Amino acid sequence: MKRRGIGFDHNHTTHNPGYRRLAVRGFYQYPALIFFLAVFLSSCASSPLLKARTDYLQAQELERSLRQEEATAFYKKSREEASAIINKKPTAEAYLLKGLAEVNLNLWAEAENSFRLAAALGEDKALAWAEELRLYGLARSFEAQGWTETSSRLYDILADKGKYQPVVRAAVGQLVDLKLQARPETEANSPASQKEKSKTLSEALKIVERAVESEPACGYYHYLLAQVLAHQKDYRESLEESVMAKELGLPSEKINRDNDLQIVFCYEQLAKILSGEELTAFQISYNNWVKKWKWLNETTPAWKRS
Amino acid sequence: MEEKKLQAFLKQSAEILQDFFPADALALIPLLYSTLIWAVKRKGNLEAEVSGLRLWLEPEVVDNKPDEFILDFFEKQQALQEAFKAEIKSRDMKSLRPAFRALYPVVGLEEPFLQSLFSEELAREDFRLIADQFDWKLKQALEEIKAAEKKPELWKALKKIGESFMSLGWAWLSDDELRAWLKSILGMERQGEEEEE
Repeated sequence: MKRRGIGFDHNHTTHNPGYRRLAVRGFYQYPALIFFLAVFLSSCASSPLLKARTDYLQAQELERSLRQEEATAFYKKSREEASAIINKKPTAEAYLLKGLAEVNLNLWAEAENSFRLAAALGEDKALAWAEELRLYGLARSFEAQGWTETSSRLYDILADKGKYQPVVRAAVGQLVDLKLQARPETEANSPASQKEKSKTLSEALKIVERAVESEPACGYYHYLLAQVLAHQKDYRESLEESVMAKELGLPSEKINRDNDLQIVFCYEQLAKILSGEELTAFQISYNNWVKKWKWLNETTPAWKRS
Repeated sequence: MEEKKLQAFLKQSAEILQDFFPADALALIPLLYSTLIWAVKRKGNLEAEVSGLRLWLEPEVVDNKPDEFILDFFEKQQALQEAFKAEIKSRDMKSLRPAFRALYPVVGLEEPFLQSLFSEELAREDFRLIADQFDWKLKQALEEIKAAEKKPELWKALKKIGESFMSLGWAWLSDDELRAWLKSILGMERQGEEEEE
């Protein structure tokens, strides 16, 4: 995949407009899920379900505005309201809404159960989602037991064939992190190990590039891409991808901070490598971002106080 | 005067939370500190901030960083550099990598809950101790929160504390000032100073 820069090498101070357009267009590229949600949510006519639905939509709205923590509270509220409805009279719609909220709260096992019950009550779509969640949960438990090859295989299947976006994103993240895992020190410097490492990094790069192509406006994928590129010591591209991730928005404060530190790291590496006019141009460009983000200086994000 | 009011408020808040935790709980002060920090930082829905704290502890960032990133992290801060001098010099990644896994969220990402949990060690700049004790101390604190969560009033109490805090006007302080005050009054810095004395 050919990545496009955002201006560190051409003295530009804004995003490449072509990429931005592509990214914005990509934002609307999961119509099936959105359409399904709209139809499903608008069909919830009864009052308590309407309240649960409204809170779910409010959470999504907050998420789009990058107010992740507030969104979490609304997902919790929506889940509680759906549970209350289920306690009175279980319906497919209520279970589906509960499952959707649970996915957003990282309650994978509970979401799988809710989707299964929704499917049992007639919601066909929910069965496929439950299967994907089950596979993801299985992969996580294999990973926790140290069965990395098996878990990688499952993440790979989900990343490649998965249809349910939250599961696909989580699987891509886990798969990439596993690929980036350091080899044992004893064999790290052998030529065979170096070759293997380079092969693994290429595989990781392909996985993330594929994900970025499918969802160009997903900040999390650009964050993952930046991480892989840093392993390949491609600091310029890694910096550009981190900036892109920051601008598109990241799913949590923790990832946002990690991404900021990645930006700082790449900036410092490039400042060491570059010289003369190239360095001056780079610093001017970089400082425009620093100013935009209201950082204290080139290496101190606003949240960093020490 | 303001400091005395804040002191009284924190004392009262800690007393409320003591009902949810055992006497020697590790999690109490970190939970109080991070609740107040998030309340002021975002100036938004407090329940959301508290929920955010819970998610904040989920593993979600890419943990596997390149060697250069890890070395840069240890070399950047003088105290860290001093503590791991030998390992940095010999590029002993086998030792540095696990230490990084513990220290990066505390010192790098500045996660408020972890900063408070390891406040004594941070005040003494005892980074090796943080690395050694990270797993068990975090596990214990999370188990305490999990046990306290069984009483649904916990999150309500935290919400109330945060709301009272906002209504008393300290949200007007800068982040830096507030953090310094809270740390000092909650004993997060004093312990280190006492050690030095």
